[in-house]
Amino acid sequence: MKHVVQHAKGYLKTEILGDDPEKFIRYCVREHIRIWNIVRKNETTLICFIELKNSQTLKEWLKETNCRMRILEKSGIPFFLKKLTRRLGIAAGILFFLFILLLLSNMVWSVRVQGADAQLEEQIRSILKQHHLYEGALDLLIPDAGQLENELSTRLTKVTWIGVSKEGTTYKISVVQKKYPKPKSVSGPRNLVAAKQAVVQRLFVETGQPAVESDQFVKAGQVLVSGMVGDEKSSRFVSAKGTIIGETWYHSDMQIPLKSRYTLYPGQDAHKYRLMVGNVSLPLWGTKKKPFKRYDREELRKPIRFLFWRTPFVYVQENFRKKQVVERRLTARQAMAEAMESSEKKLLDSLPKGSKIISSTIDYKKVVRDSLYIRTHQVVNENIAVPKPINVKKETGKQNSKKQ
Amino acid sequence: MKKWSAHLKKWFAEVSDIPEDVVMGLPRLTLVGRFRLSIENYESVLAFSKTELKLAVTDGELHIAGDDFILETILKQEIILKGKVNDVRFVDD
Repeated sequence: MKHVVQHAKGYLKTEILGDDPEKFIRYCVREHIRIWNIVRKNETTLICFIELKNSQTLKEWLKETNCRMRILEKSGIPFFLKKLTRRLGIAAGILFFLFILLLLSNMVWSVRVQGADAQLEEQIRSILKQHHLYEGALDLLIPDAGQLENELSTRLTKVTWIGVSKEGTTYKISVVQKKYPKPKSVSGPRNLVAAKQAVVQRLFVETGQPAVESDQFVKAGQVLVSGMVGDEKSSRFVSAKGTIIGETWYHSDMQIPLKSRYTLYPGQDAHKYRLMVGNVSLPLWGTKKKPFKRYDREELRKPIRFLFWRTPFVYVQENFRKKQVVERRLTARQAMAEAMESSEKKLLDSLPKGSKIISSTIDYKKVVRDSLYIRTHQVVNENIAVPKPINVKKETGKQNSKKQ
Repeated sequence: MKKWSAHLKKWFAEVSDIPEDVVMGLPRLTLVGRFRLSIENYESVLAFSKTELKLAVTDGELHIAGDDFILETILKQEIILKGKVNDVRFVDD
């Protein structure tokens, strides 16, 4: 360890031959040449290690001291490098090997998906592939784990929770799938009852005894189609089936700002790539200082690893997304149209399929402090029938008591 | 005149409690067991062989005798000798 510095500079093991080799040693000491492990071989010879210096000056001193020098060994990095340049092939091979090792250390070796069924797994993998994450991909190009999580959870509807974690060269994706309860189908004896207050418009009854007529007003829970068929003497229970279209009413209150500010991303991106060593940053690509006037900046940091170790190098990718702030002004009429449209859309989303809005009317509108307050009501035709099972025992008991 | 300054130095060393080797440039020998001897404040190497090392020091010579000598380190101010030390002797000019 003592001679590490010498190793870096290079040194020689030499024989000093001459009548007075000590003289040469004295010369070296005076001129601050490092010399060590001196051993006397015989009367005229000293063996020593000597630091590598300009050979011309050494020769001069040897001449002055009447000594000769025989080099026994050459050691240290300079000699090693010389040897290497002579064997360029090996040097290139070693470099190439190190490069491959570095590349393989920063590669994704496996992507494990846990807790997803085969179909979902396939879907996840295809989404990941779009974001450069697959087996054999370079880790540097892969977005942040949090970003991946976001992307996956917005694109996948069947998933309650998704977690992306990285362990060494393995990406682990843990999925908790949504489990829907099976819809309970009432297939035994049942009535159809009204889901909400409505005026009956049309009846399509497949089985069962209609209990209401067209244009009749019904309350929520009222029996529409009875599952009990036959007269009082001989009755049996069936599973009532049918569609009852009823007219229903809804009203909604809305507030729409007439003046609003939006942030738009027109889709222009700029990237910058840097290599960081500690606090020193080395730009690789993209050196423009501010690519856009207004932008959102994202930074992706990827530490570069080598085998088991993290090197001090960090690969940094900066993404700039162009941003535009747009101001929108609506006239009262435009705002009204928008309000109507959005309220109808909202309503239809909450209603069963096949529902139809017959008419919508504005009850009230007012502009206060740049906002439009509006109240609308809609008339809707929808299926109001919902199945309700019949408690057969109770019903028969009732009938029997009636008979007696 | 030279003698006078040497006296002054000696007096100063006594008064100030600073070691003599620092003030007067005297050699300081440190012997570790029998196998390692370091000599500071030497002047030059006069002769070196496997069994003997002769050094020039202030007012005199220092002769060290022993076996299997190796000069492990040799610097302008300090010299470290490895080997079996049998004898350390000062010789006047």
